[in-house]
Amino acid sequence: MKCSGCGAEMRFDPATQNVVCDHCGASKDPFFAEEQCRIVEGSHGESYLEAEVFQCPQCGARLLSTDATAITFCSYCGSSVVLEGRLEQEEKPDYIIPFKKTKEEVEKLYKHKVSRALFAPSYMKSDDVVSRFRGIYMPYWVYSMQNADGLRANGKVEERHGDYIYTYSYLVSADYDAEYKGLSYDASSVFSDSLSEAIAPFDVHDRVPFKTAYMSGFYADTRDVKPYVYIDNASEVVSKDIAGKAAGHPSFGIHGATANEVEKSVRLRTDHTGGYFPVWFLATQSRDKSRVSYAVVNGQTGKVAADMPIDFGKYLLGSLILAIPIFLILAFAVPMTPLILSAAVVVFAIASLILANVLLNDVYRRENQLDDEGLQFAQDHSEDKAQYKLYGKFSKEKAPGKIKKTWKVLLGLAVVAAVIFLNTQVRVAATASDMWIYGAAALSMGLNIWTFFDIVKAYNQLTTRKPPQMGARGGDERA
Amino acid sequence: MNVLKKFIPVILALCVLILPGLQAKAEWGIAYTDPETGYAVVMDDQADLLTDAEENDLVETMKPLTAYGHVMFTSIDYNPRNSTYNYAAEYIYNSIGNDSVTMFIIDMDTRYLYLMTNGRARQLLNDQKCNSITDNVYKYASGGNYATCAKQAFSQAGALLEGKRIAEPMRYVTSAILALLSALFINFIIVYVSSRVHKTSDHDLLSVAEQRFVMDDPSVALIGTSKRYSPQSKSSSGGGGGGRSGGGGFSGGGGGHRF
Ligand SMILES: [Zn+2]
Ligand SMILES: [Zn+2]
Repeated sequence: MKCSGCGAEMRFDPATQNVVCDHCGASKDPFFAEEQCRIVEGSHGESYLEAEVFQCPQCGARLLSTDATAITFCSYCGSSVVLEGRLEQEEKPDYIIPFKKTKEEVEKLYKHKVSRALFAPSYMKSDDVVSRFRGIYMPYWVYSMQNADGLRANGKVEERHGDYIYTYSYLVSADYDAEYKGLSYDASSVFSDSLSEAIAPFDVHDRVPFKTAYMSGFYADTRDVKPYVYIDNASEVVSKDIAGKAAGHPSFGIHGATANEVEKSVRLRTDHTGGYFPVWFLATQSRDKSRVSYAVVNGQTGKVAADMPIDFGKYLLGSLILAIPIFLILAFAVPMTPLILSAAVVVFAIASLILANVLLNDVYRRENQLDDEGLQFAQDHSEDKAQYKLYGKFSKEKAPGKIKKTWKVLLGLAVVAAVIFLNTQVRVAATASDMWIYGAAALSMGLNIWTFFDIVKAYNQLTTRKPPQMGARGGDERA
Repeated sequence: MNVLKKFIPVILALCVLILPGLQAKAEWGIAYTDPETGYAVVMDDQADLLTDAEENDLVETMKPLTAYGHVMFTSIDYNPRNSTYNYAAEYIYNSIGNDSVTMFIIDMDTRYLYLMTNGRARQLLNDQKCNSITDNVYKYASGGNYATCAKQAFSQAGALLEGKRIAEPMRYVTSAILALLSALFINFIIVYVSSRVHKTSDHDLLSVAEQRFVMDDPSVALIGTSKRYSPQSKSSSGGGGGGRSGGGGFSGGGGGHRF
């Protein structure tokens, strides 16, 4: 947006909620500013923005901008490339929540978060990286839900009279009137659900009618997930809440009708609107550029969610330092007998087995996008509702082959068990049998430490992501 | 301080009286005293099971054990206590108190062997190991070969004590590895708990939603009744637990074997 006074580029300023010119100091209420692009009416009463859509040549992610300035890096894959723009039509949102947090505030919030992450790689804290925060209006679906029916729940009460138990079955029903408005889910497949779920919620009370002037100095993501994708998620939250409130009435409890029973009878009518919500976005490439870590900040509330990988060198150094006082305690304050040592080895082996399993599962689910319904939807080209039913409720599928990946701990456990067994079976009077136990413990702990490196590797896989691969989704399918 | 000064002559006088008594009491069996540790080898063959040559040979076997505490050999043919353990415990307590000791006793009265350790020696040579050793040597005693039996017991005990001492550096090595493992674990848990990306709770999601909830009084309908026979069981109440108390000054232990 050009300044009418000096001709410089103006930007929307979250601090003053005005469009300002940094060059001459002019400012303007965005509501009264002229639209920055053509708004086209569709045939079914919907509207489209005819604006420049920039696509990243590396990852295919698309960003909408009404500014004339070039985009020199991609906020989704972190590549420093000039994004190519072309005029396209994008669905106009029903309303917008303008950015409330300024870039300076957001950089501070992020730096605070990183400073608390002891082993985060240093490059994540560099000013160069932090300055790459970009404000992106994310398309969201906002659901409102109303009950379509009354509540009915079966209940059972058992009573003892002498040598008999009597069972009474009840049907508890109630008419009610419930409405929930303002549950939002992001409608962009590149914006990972795990991140958008972490910076939720947005308060739609702050929404204002959409004006393109709010986008000056910011970008908008494109909407590529259909509204029905998240209806189940929103319904579940609302149904649980309704059931919880209803079951609080003594008539349900006394007659044995649980909240779970009540929840099954909740029927909802759903409606949705589309909004642009403010998200500050930062993508950082890993050193080998194969993975990317995201930091996102809710532009309304300032809530931060950031992928924080562990820098291996820092982690090892920090652990060596911490190991010194622990060693002093173990060596001089604890009567370290082979028995105590063996017990400690077993406890640690079991703990890292559990940890490794949890992380390997998380990695498997993340890499296969089992928890990201928006991304699954977008990757499935068929936009047919029946197709979506195939996903149904998301399966609790677990990672295969975990035993194989934790063989080191298991081997270590086996060695210790074997030595302890032999030590109790064979009466070795004149040999230094303790040596064997110490040796086995050392070997087992070594294998456990090795496993720990695998655990950290898995954690780093969770705190970095595959860059988006939207290449196949060129602009033409929508034009 | 003045009070203390008054007592010094009294204390000195007591020492003069007691020390020669101790000396005299222990004198009967001391065959050797380790110049470095001050621990003694006590040879007290009351049942006269060994020849003089065998006794000297056994003392040589016992000597290295003075690195870890007193070393005692006793044989008896009359046991007024009727329990080899009790006799040995009393014998040790009366002669050296709770000092570190390894003692092997051949009780001809009850026909029982016992290898007893106390103090530091017991930390290195636990009851289970003592048991193993008496298991290994009882057959010599059964065959009347008491010298070999005692010699074997002490040489095996010596080897074990030595082994534990050799294993000591390993103890530090494994402590170091365990410390590193604990540190890796603690650091990871801190990172995992503090910087994991958390999903916003349903409660927080709903906190910003506009909500309306009004419910009429529920109506309740009884839709069925059933009864089943289930005789009441006689309940019984359990009793309380008992306590065990122990006492005494001697804390030695060991292992033994009939022969
Ligand atoms: Zn200007
Ligand atoms: Zn890109």
